[in-house]
Amino acid sequence: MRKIIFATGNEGKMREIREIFKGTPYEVLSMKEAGISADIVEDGTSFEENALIKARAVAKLSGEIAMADDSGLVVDFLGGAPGIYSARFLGEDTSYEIKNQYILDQLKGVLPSGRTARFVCAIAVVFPDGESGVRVATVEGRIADAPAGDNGFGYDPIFYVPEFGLTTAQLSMEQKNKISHRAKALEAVKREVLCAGTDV
Amino acid sequence: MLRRAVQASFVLLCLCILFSAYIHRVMAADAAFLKLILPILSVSEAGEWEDAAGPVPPDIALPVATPIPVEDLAQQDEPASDLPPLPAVWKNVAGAESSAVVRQLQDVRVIVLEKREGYGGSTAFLEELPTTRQLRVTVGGIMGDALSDGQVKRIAGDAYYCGTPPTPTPTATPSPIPTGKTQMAPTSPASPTPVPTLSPSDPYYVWRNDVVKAIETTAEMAEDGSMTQTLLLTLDKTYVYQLYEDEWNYYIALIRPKDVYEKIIVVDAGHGGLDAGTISQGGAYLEKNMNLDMVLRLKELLDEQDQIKVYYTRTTDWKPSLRQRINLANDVEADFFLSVHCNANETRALHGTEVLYDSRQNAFSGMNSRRFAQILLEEMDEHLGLYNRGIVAREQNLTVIKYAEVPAALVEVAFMSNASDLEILSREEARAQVAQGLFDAIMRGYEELGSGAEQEEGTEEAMGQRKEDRWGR
Repeated sequence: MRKIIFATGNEGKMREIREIFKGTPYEVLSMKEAGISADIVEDGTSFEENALIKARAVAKLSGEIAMADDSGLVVDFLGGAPGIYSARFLGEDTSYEIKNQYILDQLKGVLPSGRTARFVCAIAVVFPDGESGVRVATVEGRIADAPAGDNGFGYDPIFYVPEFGLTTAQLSMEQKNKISHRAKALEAVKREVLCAGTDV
Repeated sequence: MLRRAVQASFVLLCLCILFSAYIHRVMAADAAFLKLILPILSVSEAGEWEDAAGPVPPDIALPVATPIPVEDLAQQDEPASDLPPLPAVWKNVAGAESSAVVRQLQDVRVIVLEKREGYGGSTAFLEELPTTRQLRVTVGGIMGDALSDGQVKRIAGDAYYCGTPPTPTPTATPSPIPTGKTQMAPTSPASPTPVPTLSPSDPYYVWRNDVVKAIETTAEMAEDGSMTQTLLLTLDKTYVYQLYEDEWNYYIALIRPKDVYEKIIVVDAGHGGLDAGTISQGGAYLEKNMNLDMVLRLKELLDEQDQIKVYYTRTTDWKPSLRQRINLANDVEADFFLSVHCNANETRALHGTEVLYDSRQNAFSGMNSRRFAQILLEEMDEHLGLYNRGIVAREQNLTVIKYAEVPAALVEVAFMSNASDLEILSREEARAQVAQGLFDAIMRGYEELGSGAEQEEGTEEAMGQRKEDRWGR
């Protein structure tokens, strides 16, 4: 089994990626499981760049295949904000209740056609020889008029998915997985890793 | 009744005189011996190695001490009858009661390596691995069987141990004492003060005072058919090691570092190995390398002096655990523990130098962690001149200084998450200034320690006022 180190401390993400790599000749480890510790300064200008920065650092440190993700919410009316600053938006320790309310306040009175937004997820993979790839996937939607649902976290309660007529916080796990931007990006990267694997 | 008492005290007095005369001789011999081996000992810190999960042996072995043959010892020709009888344990272990070496070492904690057939032309040397509390013993030129762990005997007080000790059981559940050569009970009953978590029925109980906690042996055959045997001994703490030999045994005396060196500091380069610390924007700089670079520059300065013995937790890219780092300082009873780090924060605008210490302050009179932190900050301010963020009291939440039993401080030199701090850190000249600042702080620490004067506080108020730093920002 070849090792892939996924640069996250988030167990939820680890479960998701393990599920996707099940049945492949790769074993996905978290940084902690791989004994790696790093506080990576990622001030890239895009999701892709940030994911690559993290994956590159971990690949260099460990000498193994490394993957990393960077994701966030892009609101067109706000010029793309919070975007790559999604986690740090209004301050790292600010609750999402406040962050969500701030976005709703900014969009007060804006018609549905102007409320377009998307969840973006970039997943980067870097091989020990330095070769790298990055895949981006999105979920298109709108900013809701008011927060709804409690099945989600982060910006989920204000992100409305027209396909289901619900916010992502109102979707069931199954529905959410079906449209998950992270799952889509992971599938794309998995194909890349598996293709690279055949060259070896 | 009175007569008997007088008689008894006279005998006691005679014994005292004899004993002090004996001690005096031992000390004199030791001093001469130390002069001989100290220069060799000081190269030993280089014996560290890259490591992933746990300690692994380095590829090169550096000799730290070669044995002193019995004929070099001054008191060899003195009649043994003048000396008090050897403790019984020595007869069992050394089997050589008249040896001058044994006479000299009988009150010291000693590891004895038995020479068996074919050891006549063998040579031994030691390599200390202080951070992991390990000692590597290499015996070369053995014309016979390789050493077995049964030849490794330890004497501590009136108890002796032989073979590989069992691994302590975490829970004190009663279980039968295993038999065989790896379990040789001490010759005297166990001490009356048991370790709280260890019940006397625990098989490890009799081993609790053993200085050796693990033995790894490897043997290699040379082209001439002789064996080179390596013993990696893990001990209960870090000692200064002195190697002696006589016809029958090699003897490794375990000496308390403070009995050898008057001044001791421990310098720690933070992170290492798979623990990168902060990775700067774009991955150009890793904190572990920055820290090590500054520590190695400090080492160059410290190598110039011979007043202070310096232990380094690492001088290469590997990761000692946090406890190993601070245990080293506690083991050797260091005067100071200094850990060198770089800072990072999500708020990229934060910049400057700060020094952390534990809020308990290890309140020794005169010098404590807080005072040491303050001196370090002042010297960093003087030499590097970044924005002065002050000293920071940590509420027992920073492992590396929390467990310190000695004055300990952690310098956060600059913020690797701040572009401008990072640019300065990336300059060699700045890192050399950091090293000079740390060096001067250590020297000032010793000056204050020496003078024993209570230092005035309050300089702190004056610090942190600097709005512009020396780098024109």
